[in-house]
Amino acid sequence: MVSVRIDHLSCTYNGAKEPALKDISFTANTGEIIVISGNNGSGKSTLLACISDIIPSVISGRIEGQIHRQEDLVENSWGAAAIGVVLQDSDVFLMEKVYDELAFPLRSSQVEGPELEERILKTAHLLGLEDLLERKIISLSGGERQKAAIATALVGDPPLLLFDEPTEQLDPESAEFFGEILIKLAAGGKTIFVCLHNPRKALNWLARHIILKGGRMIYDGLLTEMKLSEGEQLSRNINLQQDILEATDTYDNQAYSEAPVLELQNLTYHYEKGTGIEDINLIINRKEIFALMGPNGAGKSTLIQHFIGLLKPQRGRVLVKGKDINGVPAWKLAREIGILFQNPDDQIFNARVDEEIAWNLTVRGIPKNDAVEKAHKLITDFSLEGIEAKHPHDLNRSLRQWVALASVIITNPEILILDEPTKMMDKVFLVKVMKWLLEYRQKGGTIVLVTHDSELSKYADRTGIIVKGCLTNIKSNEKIKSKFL
Amino acid sequence: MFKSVLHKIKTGPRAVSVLFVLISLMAYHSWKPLLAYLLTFLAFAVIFHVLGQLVSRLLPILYLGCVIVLIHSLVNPSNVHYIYIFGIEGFNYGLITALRLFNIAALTQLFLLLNPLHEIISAMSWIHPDLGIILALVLSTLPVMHQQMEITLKVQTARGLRRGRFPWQRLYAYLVILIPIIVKALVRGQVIAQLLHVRGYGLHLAKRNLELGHSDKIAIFLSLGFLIVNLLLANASLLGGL
Repeated sequence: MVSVRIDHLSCTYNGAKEPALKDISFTANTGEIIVISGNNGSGKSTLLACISDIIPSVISGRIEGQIHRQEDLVENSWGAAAIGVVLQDSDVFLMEKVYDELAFPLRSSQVEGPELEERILKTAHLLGLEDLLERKIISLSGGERQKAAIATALVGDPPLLLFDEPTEQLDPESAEFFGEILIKLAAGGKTIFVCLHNPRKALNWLARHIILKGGRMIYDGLLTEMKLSEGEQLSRNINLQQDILEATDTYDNQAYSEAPVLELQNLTYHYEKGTGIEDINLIINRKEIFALMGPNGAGKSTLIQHFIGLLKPQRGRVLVKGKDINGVPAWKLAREIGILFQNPDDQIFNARVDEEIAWNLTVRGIPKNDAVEKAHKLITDFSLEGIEAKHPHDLNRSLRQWVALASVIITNPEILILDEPTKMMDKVFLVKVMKWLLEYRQKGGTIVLVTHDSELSKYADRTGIIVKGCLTNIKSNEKIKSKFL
Repeated sequence: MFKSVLHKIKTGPRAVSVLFVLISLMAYHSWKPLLAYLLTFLAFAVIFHVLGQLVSRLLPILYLGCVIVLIHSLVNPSNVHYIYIFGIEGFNYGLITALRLFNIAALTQLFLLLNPLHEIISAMSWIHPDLGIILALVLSTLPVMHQQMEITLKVQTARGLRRGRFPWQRLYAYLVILIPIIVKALVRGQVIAQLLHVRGYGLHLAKRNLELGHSDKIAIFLSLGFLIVNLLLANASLLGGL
């Protein structure tokens, strides 16, 4: 049965010259999972916004064409909003506590009492959130917040579900579990749309695949088969590593030097709510790429903040190049250690891209003109000419993340710490960035990579697994790397 | 006994009662009754086992209160008598202002601690359907803004930002931290609007009629009486003082 039918849909945002969506047509049936993929700016989120009526109800835009929804999708039998939506920015929430957040859509539909309680507990159980119901959302990790957002979309049992990058902050295990939930929901008759910039994650979902490029639909078929369309060559297998290796002229598999640059000795840090890290011992050597992985809320971000002095150990020591950094201010450590945080919007404040990149130099006393000149060179190295004078917030997420990264690497730090660097980047960018990082490493740099992306972690010399605040396992990736040589 | 009495009164009438008590606080121009009220609110907090939470929420107000007292002591124009450099009239004025602020904060925080948020939102819709959600969003956003300030400070420090000794250096540092926060707040507002839409807010929106029970009416009547008595007492003491 047809659930949603899109006929020649075009959408133009107010004030925009070009439509964000151009002549999109397809139908979605009950029980289908449809994965929508494409680079940043291809129109994925816009398509979901149109289907969910965010455009034009909340965001102004001109819609041409038709969106037909099955009759009971306007409002279901008990008056609830019949579409469950997870927006791309799952860090924004309405209520203070997880329980109230899940209750909100139900209370909006005047569901109260035992029925409300039952639905919340059932949905929380489905996503493993029972222990988090009374927690404040602000105290949750990024992945836990994303689970809470997914639960809020599911709690009203809507027949149509729209997810925009729902696995972005989830660890691989949680992402796989999420896929299993989607399959069950689809089998139960739900129609599900999922936007993913990396459709690899959906290979096991038995999903249909729609690819957007420049606002147009260039492919609609099964996820395992790809047709060639409009002269575009689409690779049969999405193999990120192969693309990066091909882009890198040489891959130096020299072992990293056994010269410790970062060391943690019995490091312990606990937050007020009791979470944190416990008794961590770790040595990272010069020219090493060390990947740090673990489930959401495990303590990865807590650990790396100690390297730069943003958190002080409650027990234990942190050594940088053999020296205890206790008492050394973070701004001083920033001369040797560059850190890229997850969200570039936490730092962008200049009105021009080149000034934003150059700021890490100007704040250290380098004359502005010299710093901006270096920023221009870096922009040229990455073949991004033309963005120098733009406002960083006018760029897409991928480019904003690159601007944040560029502002770190412009200072040539000896040690680079990257927290989820690929989270917002599409594949084209990722290849350029990884190529630069591998060259940086060959010149003597050390890289610490915090990532959920198991494909990315294969570039590491060693991978550390952190679970519930404890470093449980460190494994060498030598055997895995040799497969690519 | 207090708990069983409070349990019988709905959140809406409790809010009205709190409002009347807040207005009463404005009437006094002496520190003694204001201090007495504050101690009463703290006693209520002990009875309802929320003293620790209340105190932690009031700590920022305590610092602010101390600053208010200090500034008035030093520079209030009505200062005539001094102890060293501290004016007595200014100290008195500052103390009354700080205590009033402290009382307002204590009472409102006590109300928030003793009433579930969703019931407050529901009660507010008696006045206007959107008022409750506005309150909920303010309460959920304030800690987020605070957290965002901490995050941005960390991020900019990691990039090399130093908070220097001189005022212009500190002002620049604040700008570097504030601009991302303001931008994120604007973006957050837009996303919140989308969330409200997709989660069905407004589907069944209507001004609620508040049904008052026997206990609710008594509570409102008593608190109104409390307000009138306090206004009279405050005026009497003022006239007596004159």
